[in-house]
Amino acid sequence: MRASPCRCPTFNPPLRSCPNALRWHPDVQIHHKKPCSAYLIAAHTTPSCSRGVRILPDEPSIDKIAAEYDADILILPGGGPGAKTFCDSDTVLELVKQFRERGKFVGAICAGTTALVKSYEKEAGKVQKVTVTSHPSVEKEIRDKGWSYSSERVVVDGRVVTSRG
Amino acid sequence: MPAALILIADGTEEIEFVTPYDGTQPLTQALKLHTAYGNIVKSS
Repeated sequence: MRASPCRCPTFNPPLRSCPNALRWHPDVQIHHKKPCSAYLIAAHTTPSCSRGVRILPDEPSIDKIAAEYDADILILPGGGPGAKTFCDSDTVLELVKQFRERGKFVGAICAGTTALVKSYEKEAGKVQKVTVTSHPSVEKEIRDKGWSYSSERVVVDGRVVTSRG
Repeated sequence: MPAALILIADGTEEIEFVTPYDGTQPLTQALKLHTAYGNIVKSS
């Protein structure tokens, strides 16, 4: 069934027509049984997403994030180019590391798992790797780095949650 | 109240709203609205 087009000119064509877009899915309530808030932060001031939609984040700089937002989970969305941006940013990788070290949840979607994997690289041998999943296009890359890999749609290992994408 | 930080960057996949988004509210408010129902982002 075709979704009704959004009347907002900002989102034309409607995002619902995009098969690879992220979804807010009602059955993923593993950790957040209670209502929660979401805050968007950006690796760049005004990111241009994979299909050209530009998003104005709540916080345009991630430098202050750890101090100002007491979040329970950090989520790394997918999209191959976006994941590469994460992997190339020492600030992002440090933020992922901070969440892990503070015992907080880290969630990675699709190719976003590659940023999670890269955040472990500077601590090789010191931190135990967990079982993850990802978009199939980056499966070999992750396996080659010695990670335990699952093809399940969603994998929860300790405080790391990954999804196939 | 639990809170999530969603990191976005150039090339990140767009967010899709499962329930209709009428365009009358800022995107981030819409995200908060959805998470108020206890949802977490998940890829399609």
